[in-house]
Amino acid sequence: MGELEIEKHTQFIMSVEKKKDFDSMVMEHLRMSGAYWGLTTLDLMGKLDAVNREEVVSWVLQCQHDCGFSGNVGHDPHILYTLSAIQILALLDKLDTIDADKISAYIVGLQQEDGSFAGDEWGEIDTRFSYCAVCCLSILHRLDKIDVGKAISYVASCKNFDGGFGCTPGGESHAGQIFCCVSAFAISGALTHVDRDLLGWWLCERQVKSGGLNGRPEKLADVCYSWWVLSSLTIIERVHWIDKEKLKTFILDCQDKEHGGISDRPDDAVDVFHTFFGIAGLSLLEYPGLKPIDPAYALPVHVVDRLFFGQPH
Amino acid sequence: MSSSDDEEDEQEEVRVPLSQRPEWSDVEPIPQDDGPNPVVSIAYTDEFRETMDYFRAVFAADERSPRALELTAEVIHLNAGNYTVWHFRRLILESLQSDLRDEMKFFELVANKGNHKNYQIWHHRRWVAEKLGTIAATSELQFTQEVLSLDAKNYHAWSHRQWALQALGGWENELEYCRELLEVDILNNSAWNQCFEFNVQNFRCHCIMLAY
Repeated sequence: MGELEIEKHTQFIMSVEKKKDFDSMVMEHLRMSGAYWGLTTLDLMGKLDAVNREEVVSWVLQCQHDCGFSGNVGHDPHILYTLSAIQILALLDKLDTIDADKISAYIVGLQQEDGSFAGDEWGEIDTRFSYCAVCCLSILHRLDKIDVGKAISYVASCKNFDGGFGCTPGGESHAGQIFCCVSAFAISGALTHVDRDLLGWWLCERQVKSGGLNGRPEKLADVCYSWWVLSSLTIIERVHWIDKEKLKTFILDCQDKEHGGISDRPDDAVDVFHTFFGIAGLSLLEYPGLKPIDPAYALPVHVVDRLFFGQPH
Repeated sequence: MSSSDDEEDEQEEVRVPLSQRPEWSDVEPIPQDDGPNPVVSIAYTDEFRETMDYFRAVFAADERSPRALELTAEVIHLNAGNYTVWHFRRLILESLQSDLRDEMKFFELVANKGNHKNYQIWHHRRWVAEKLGTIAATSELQFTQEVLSLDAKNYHAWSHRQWALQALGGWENELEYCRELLEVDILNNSAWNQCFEFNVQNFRCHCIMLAY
């Protein structure tokens, strides 16, 4: 089995700005999430000191609107980037730089009559946004501002016959959506809505011959499912239902050992998204040298401990 | 398909920079400000940079004009994932009271460039279809069928199809469609999920009928 190339991955994340390819271009509007993926990965590897925290915070705050945060300067606010921004500020212990009540009010305003959440004023509904709302408000210690009962009922209405969850009621079970729903339940103290054995079976069936995990039956393995599937299994205490060593090998085989970074599957192009999810997955697998990560908040455990057991804001 | 790709290549070859187009001579483009030492900063091609600079200018001025609408199309062709541009395009369409049947033609061009997994395009399509109402029912089922013929498990297409069936009707024929897909690939999990949803919808209809 290969080693995790921590130094190479650190260099890759720090040098992402130099890339001139199309993938870099299309990330412009979601830079906030890119920053969250990069910074959290650095912290998991113990390399967050490579970054100038003040400059990061300054840029994040430039993306703040009257309400939520946008993906980059000059873009409209969206719940996805609001969560990424809050996660970054939590990581850097700078939540005191924002008005938590204002951010909470923005999220409360996105909750619909049926308990679901829109991504922004344009009304797209998706259980991803339910997770964003619950996670964000929990980090800000303001979960009680939304109708949690209705939020959970809506997520529960997206449960399928196979124990999994989709993006909306009736939507096919998908590992990414399952992570969002199971984490929303976990954060809200509502895991009773999950049939752990049925869902655990569906999730462990995602492991294919190569040891990697796919997101739905009969699809290809992809490193990002090392997070979506693994975190869900961890939350419902069924992670021993997969072959952890084989998964570890798969993730390590997806590294670019020369230039750093991790790709979706071996020998493909790397990107910061898959680098984060690969290393986060290895953290859940307790790979030596990595800090532990919280499976529901997708933040290092020491950050979550500080949020909930440290000094109150 | 190949002839439209050739046409597109030809269009890309003869693209006139915005700074050289007379109709844009009154606009001062606004460059991207990433700060001194940006985290995750991104290098841009010249075309992308210029188009975004002009977009920033019309966005800042909240200019909702036909040329601004065309400019959003140029940005979208370069980066269909830019959600802010889609937002602004919708604002312009509303302000100009544009015929949204034309919009269906527009983003079929965008979708043909391999963006069938792009959240923004699908959401925009839903927004347009909602505004058009039941006249869009046939087109939405037809469009999702076309996308699924290329990728029978496209999650966005299935999600959009379920929405269209729910909002605009057509569930009664869906089981037959699923059967056709399963004859091609018995392991198509998306088609099986749709079968299950068909039964759920069918059961609901019967309950409603019984209630009356």
